[in-house]
Amino acid sequence: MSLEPGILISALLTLAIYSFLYKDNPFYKLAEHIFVGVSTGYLLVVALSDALMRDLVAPLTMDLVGSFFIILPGIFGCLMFTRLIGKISWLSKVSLAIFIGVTSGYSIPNYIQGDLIKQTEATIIPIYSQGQSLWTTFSILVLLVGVLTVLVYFFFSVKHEGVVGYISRLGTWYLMIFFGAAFGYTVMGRVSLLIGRMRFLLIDWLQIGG
Amino acid sequence: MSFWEKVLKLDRRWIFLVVAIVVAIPIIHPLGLPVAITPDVRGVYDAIENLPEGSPILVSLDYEPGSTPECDPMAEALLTHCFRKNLRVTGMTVIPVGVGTGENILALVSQKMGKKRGEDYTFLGFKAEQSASIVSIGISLQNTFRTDRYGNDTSTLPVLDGVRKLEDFAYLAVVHDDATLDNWVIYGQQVTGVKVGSLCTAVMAPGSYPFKNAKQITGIVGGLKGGSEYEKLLGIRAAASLGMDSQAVIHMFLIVIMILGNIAYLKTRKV
Repeated sequence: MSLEPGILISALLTLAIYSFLYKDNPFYKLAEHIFVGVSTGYLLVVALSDALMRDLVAPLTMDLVGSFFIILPGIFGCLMFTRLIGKISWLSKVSLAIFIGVTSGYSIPNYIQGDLIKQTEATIIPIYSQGQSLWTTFSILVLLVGVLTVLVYFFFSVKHEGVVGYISRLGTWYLMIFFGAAFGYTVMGRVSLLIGRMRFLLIDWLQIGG
Repeated sequence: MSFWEKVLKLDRRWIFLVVAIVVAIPIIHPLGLPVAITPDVRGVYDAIENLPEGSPILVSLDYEPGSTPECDPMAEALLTHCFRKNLRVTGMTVIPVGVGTGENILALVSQKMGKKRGEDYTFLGFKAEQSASIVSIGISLQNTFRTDRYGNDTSTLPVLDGVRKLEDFAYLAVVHDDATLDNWVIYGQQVTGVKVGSLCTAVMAPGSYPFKNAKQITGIVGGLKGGSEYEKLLGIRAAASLGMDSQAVIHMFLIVIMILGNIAYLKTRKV
């Protein structure tokens, strides 16, 4: 068993968290509070050092003339904190407005190009071309039918009955299969996290196996 | 009470205990189960394998400590591959907690491979506001990161020689546990044309497939399974491959208890 402080503390906190699986207890609560406190503190330090100090304070203190262009954005950034002061909290709306406006400006065209148009382009492909295997043809058909039927399912301006009803029902099946596959991936992901912790407890802490 | 009623009423804590035992046994006694390579993982591997020696590669390590069991093995395999090929690795992150995890794995692998910071690799650190940072890197890397995390001027670092913006990198590998790939593809790949690979947790893998189908990314390394495939391609058997033994066994157990539970439900259902 390793008695190295970092490993020992990590192992004990891991066991404290897992003790919740038996029932809620003070050790679990203690570990949970430590986690929340440490992660909040860590985030604050990183935001201060990597964002505020490195991108605003350091350039201004080292080269004020060369960094004059960050003075105005720095002021607008500081105005965000006025949200905490009731009487002048309206000043933060100026910064928010600039932030939302600029973000929308570069987001909307890029998302339309990269997400909508590019994805639509990927579905406009020949179902069959010479030399293509039957399996590839079948896959393309499945993809095409899936895209169309799911789009019909989400089209609520027409009542889902008759032909439209059958098509949207097929779209529902596609969605269910997708959710099942996504859930399967999620289960795999969670099991992987458990495996990682068990490997740490057994190999790094108890020094069994590996 | 019939057998099926007992199954439905079984205290879940017994199931937790069995899961723990089932996961632990393959860790103590590895089974050596085979790993099959998928085209998705090969897409990332081949893209990096085909890069000439000395090419600059950007690795965005965007995962939190809670995802290290899945992402660390993938990141380690990726960085091992890059250092074997003597690529110039530039690490960075667009999430605050990625600083610790990214710096850790980069330092670990570079030390193991005998690589020198500043010449063979560097870590630029965290930059706030994901989408704006990526747009900014697409215009000028040096204006976005004036120094690396250790205070060295990025305009004079040997590892960044000839790299002025995102499109100057030969490849961009995004190791992520969140939707950061979407931002890298939409603001990075789409605008600059840089080749992108996704190394993600299993939960995020379904979201990466639309990008793969649209040929916006070269491949996907998804979860521990993807990491084990990458390790096999590198000819090593490390954390991901060893973890897959437990993964396979626990999945079989879960299938069995799900079938058992469903049969018990059908048998006890009052029609």
